Amino acid sequence: MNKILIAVLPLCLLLASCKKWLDVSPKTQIESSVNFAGEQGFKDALTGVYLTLNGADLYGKDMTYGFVDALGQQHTQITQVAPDYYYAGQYMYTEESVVNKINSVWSRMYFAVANLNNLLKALESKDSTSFSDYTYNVVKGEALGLRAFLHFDLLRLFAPSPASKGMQAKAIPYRLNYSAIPEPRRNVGEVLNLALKDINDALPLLKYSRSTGCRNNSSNNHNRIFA
Amino acid sequence: MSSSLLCVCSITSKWDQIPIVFPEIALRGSSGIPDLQASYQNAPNLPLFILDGFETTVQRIYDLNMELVERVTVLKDASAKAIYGSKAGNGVIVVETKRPSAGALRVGYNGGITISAPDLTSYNLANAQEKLDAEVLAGVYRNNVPNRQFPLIATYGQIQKDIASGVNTDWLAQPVQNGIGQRHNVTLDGGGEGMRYFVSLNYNKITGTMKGSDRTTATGVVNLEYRKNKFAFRNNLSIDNNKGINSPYGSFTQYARMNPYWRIHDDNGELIKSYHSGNTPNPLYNLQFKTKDFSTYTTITENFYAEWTPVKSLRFTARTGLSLSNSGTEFFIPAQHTRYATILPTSDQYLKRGEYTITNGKSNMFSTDLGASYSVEKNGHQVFTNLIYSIQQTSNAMTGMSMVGFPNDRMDDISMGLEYKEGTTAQGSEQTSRTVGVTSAINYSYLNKYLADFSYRASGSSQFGADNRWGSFWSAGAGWNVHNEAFAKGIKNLNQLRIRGSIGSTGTQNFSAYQAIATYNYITSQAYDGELGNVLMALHNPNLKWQEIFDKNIGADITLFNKLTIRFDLYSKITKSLLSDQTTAPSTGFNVYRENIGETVNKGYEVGLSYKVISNSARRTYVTVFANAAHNENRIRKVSDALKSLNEAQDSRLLGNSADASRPVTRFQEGQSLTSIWAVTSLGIDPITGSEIFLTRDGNITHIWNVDDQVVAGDMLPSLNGTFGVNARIKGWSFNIAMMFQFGAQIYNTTLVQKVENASMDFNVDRRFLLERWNTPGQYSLFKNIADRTVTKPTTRFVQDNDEMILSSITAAYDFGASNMMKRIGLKNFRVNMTLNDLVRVGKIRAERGTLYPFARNFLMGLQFNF
Repeated sequence: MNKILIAVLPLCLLLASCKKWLDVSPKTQIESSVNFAGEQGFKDALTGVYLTLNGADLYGKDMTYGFVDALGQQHTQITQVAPDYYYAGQYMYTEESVVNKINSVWSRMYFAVANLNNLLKALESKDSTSFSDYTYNVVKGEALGLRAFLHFDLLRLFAPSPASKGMQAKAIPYRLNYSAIPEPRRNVGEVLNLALKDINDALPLLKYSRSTGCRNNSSNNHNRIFA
Repeated sequence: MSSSLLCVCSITSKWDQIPIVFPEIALRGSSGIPDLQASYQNAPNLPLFILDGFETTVQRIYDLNMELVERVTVLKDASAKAIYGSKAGNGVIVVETKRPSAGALRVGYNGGITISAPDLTSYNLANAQEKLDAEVLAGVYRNNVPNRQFPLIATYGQIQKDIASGVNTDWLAQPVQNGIGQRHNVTLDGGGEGMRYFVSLNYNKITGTMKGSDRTTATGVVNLEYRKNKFAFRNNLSIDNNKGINSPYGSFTQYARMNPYWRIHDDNGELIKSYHSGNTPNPLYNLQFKTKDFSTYTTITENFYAEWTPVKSLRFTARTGLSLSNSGTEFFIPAQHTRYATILPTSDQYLKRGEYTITNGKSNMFSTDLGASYSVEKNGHQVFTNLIYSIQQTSNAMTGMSMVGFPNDRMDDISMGLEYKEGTTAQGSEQTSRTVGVTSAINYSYLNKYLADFSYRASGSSQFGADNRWGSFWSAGAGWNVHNEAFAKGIKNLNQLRIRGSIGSTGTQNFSAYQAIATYNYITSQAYDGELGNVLMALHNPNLKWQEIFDKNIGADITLFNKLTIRFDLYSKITKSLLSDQTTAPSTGFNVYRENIGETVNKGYEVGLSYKVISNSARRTYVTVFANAAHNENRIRKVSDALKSLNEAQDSRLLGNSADASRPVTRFQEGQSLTSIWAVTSLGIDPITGSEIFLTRDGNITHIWNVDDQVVAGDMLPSLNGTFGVNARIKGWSFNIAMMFQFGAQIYNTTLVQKVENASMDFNVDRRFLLERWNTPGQYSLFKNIADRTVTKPTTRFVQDNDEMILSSITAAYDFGASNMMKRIGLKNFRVNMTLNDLVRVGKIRAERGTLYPFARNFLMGLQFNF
């Protein structure tokens, strides 16, 4: 009996160190906790959101001069050759190509929001003193501002305007958390209030940031919402 | 199972037909959900393959030289599997290669040729005139607009003229050949009391039935064994090199589609480039220039094993294994290839014709285990215990790129390309996974009458959520050797009666890595203001657990009259925490995430018997008859909401009008089997209109197919399946005949649907399209209106009983024995053998041969001799 115990004990100790050995990270990717260990990771995650917004499926094309402008009747010369925008201009929302564009806008906008939420969650566990200069405030401020801005744009596209259906009309979900659990749709008034709250939280954080291209964009975004 | 029987089994023949596709094997029923949304690294129902004590891949077993195999053991019940723990939930196949034996140097040769003969008689395609007539009936040459009707009539006239002048191309025969393959194996072995050795060199070339396709494997093996005093050492080193070439003729499916009224050569004798105004290429055109399409790998495997027995009852073992593998694929087509047939010189794509794609992969597997075992015997009690500690690491890395712009086939190196293929850059991927485990087992027996065993294993893996990295698995078994009891010893003719049972829990790990860890991926295609960004890869699930399988098994082994052996097993296998994708609202940022949900049950029995009809050693005559049968039932026990939404997503595939909508979907419902066939009940084809009549769930009759009217129309699992046959040895001759059968399974005859109903008129069709489809009111037909071009969605009309019996193989061999002539030459034995596979099939439905690869029969001939 004693012999068996002696045989088993050292193995238990070995197993404890094995726990670390089992933490394997892929080379082309970086684990979330490792990413947010240092300041650069936060900046990278925020840059990732900007890059997502840059894509042709969002503000790179469709949310600006592409799909949305076609809806806004800015393109009058479109024939059947460019079918996406042709059907969009005719408001044929059930056409497969239009449905795909709409789904893509919805998914990608919320993908950016999910990334922002994870970033904000990681920021909560850090405080501004562990970052250099005003980096903490800039990152947090831009993240909050972007969240408000993205939800506002989703509201603009997917919900009826307050003028037509009022503040109680059903609108979109406002995601404040990164999780797999879906959230119910809120009404127009709630979405606007939550967006305004995010902006009011963001503005004081951005007051002291150095002037960079990024900061100017965020203030422009905020002005649009207030208007 | 000895090595000679392995050559006979028909599994080998099925694999030979498609040289570069590996079979999916499931032992005792499916336990994993076939992955519908993401892709697994390995198929979910694959058992674990162990070669000489080390884990290995399906590919290695497939390429293994049969002559090296000493024994194959299939472990299906709980106690057997629990020793292998976390990866053994789907069963374990243990392969052991031959060990060197003592004696003077022995040289042996074993070789043979394999002929794969394609059999095109089961393909029933229309000839030129029949195809044209079918097109007319289907309305291809009719158009209500007169100025469009006119060119159609001209086309019709031209084709009819060609047919009258004798054009009737047999496309199917163009790319096929009798594939003649060969294998050669030379072994040297021998040794004395201390050191023994075994060296083997093997060359195996499998030639497929498509011209230009083959798979060549060369292997060298050196096994050394050394024993001295209380130590024993074993070292196995093997190096494999393999190259598989895909046929430059393309896929067989292309040839089955080509219209028979098209000529291959034009009036000048030149190959015609394409048809349908450039949209359908002539697959033979591409043979005029050089192309490449192959994959290769080189693997070095080194296993070292050491054993120390300080006292008789105690033994320590250490085992280290290393497997390094380099692989690569190359694909090259020049600008003249028919893929670029429609690109004009004025297009900006003109300079980008031609493509070269290469990938390089590296794969390493490293494992070590240390063990100790102790046995003691006293007063008839025997106890044997062992403990093994093991760690393993597997890593795979792949890089690749695709270049375009190769103006002719002399520029056949990737460095000669113009630029990267549009939208791509160099690609790479990397994956590492690690596991750690401890296994312990105790076996107890009393007077060899009562047996009990218990084993326990704990494993941790890097692939699972941080909260659930460790799994523990156990098994317990008991057995009773009734034949050793006093009361049984009196029973005449009862040689063996053992009753045994076991229960246990094992796990499976057939999933992609990194599903459980929140991970960011760097966006490398763009920078923002000079900065790099990263984004989340997936919704991770930190609670992901091992998929667990509970096995319960009871069985008996009986031997009577020293002639009849019966083995009977009753089992139940419950799989819990089934892994699958759970859909979620896109507003979470993603569409799916991995979750443990659902439960399935597999229950069944297996019976095997063998009977020695004649066993006369004086006359060297032995005849044995054997039979095996199995019955497995599969039920989904619990289905979470996730699977229900998966059903909806699956059903949506049936709503469109694409070819995808013609195959039945996999639906998950509690109480139903994972292999149920779902289809709408059909009442046949209406003789007046030629369209199908359906029965709705409420019992109403309608012409409209509705996804909600689907019912369970059958099950792909047979009620009974198995094998039976005869093994005979008469003096120097030996014969084996093996037959396979199955009853009670249904199949959705997708091939028939695609050939006769969903066939496109642009391409060739099955003869039945013309002869058996409905075309006049009042006609009774099995198939719908010839002019109806809508997709045929799953209907019970094509659910057919798949009862069949196949003569899977016949082998005959002659052993020249120790005749005088042999003694003079110095040969120790000389044997020739011949095997025929898949000779005859008797079945309820006509086998609809698919067109992915031509159906072929295999003939093997070989000879073997030793000095």
